Amino acid sequence: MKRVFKIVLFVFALILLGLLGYFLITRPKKTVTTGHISSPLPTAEFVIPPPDAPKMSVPTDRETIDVANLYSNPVYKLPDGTITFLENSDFTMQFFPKDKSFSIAILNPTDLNAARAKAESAFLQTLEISEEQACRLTGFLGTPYSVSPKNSGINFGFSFCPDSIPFK
Amino acid sequence: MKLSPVRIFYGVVYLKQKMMKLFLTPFFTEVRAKKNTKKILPFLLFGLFFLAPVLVSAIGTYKPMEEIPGYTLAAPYDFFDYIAIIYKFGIGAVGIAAMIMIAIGGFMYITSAGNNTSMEKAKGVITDAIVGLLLAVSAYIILYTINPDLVKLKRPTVQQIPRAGAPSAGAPTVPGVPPPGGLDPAQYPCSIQTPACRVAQSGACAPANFAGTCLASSANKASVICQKESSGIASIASGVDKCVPGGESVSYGLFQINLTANNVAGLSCTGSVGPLYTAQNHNCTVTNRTVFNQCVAAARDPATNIQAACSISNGGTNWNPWGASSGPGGCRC
Repeated sequence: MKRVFKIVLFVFALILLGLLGYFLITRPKKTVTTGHISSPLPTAEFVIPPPDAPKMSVPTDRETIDVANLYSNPVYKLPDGTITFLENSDFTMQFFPKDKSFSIAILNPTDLNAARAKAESAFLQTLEISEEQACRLTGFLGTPYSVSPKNSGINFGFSFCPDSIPFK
Repeated sequence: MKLSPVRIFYGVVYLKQKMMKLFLTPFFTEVRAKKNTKKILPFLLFGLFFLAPVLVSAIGTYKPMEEIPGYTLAAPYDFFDYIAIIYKFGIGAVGIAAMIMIAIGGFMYITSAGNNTSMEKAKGVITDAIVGLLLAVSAYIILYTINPDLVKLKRPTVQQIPRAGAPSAGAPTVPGVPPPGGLDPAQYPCSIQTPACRVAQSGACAPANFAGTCLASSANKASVICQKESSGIASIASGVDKCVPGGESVSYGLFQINLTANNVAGLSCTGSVGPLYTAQNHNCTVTNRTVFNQCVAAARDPATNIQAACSISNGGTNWNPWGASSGPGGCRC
């Protein structure tokens, strides 16, 4: 009986040791999350740059990302500073300074995925930023109801970012 | 009488045996423990039965009469916080108690003077203390490993269960994946709750942008329709609603206002392009280019577009004119 008790105690201690090890190894570490285009809204202020400035600073929820000055040659500009900075038959892109967010609408109903890839490539090129930086920006990538009723309203994010969703 | 080391030793042994009888024996005597359990159990059950309503009524208004050492309970007082503190205190107390028992066991072992029975008893006390400590610590670690929330005693919450028959009740972040929590009507204000019917989190369609407009009271529904119709792009022109054969877009802006059906900013838009563009009739032409261009510019302005949407939706009460609400894949707002 005593021997059995000792064995049980030993096994129990062994399990506990294992659990302690597991707990220590797998406890959450401080990591920098990459996020994606639907990151929380930044709180820092955005200042509309003069048209001749080479760069503009876009605050995110964690940092400020310097991008190419989209106000130097916008396609369309509203009095409140909202600008459409890229537009073609495949997509249209807007910067909304009020909450420092980007909106990208995919407009080609025949091939949404191809249009999305073109939009993503054009976005990175125009803003002169890396994929990693793009993932930290706040915004929306989707398609309007007139283009695809079943996909409309969903934030698909950039395909190269974590948590992005493929088109249906 | 002369105090020799041998006398002192025997004196200590005697005292120890007396102490054992006085403090420890009752706890380790099985017969007595069984008798006590039999006596106490009915009282416990009886007390629990009559105390339950008192405890329930105390929730929310509970004010402890006695603080637990080492912990302070901040106002507003909560019975659940008190229980959580007792739990934490208990974990600490087990450690202290185990340490004391191990010390007592060690003392018993040293003073057993080669007495086999005393030695066994001392070993038993030490083993019991270690087993107790292991049990308490392992219970905590096992619970923490399964889910850290299990060791954080919190007020229980009642999860809202979605209505039966709803296509995808809840707040999924990925299409087809059920939500971890319950339904959030603020985030999913329409009768169909899918990621496609969620209020805009950023951009021109976010509910905050409808504050101060006539859509303020139905800002969340307006946000859903706006996001579905335009993806939040104020200047967007419909790539599908186009006149045949001219190719001019007829729907513009956040709410994709159809200029063949609606006038905006006091302009006669319906007079500048026509006849009415519908799902069946795509034949239309621009008859007055100047006014039409003015209408397009006005419809691309968020303030004017929201105003037009307000008028069409009867102050945000009827979203049926929009396919994003009543059409296939619509949110039924």
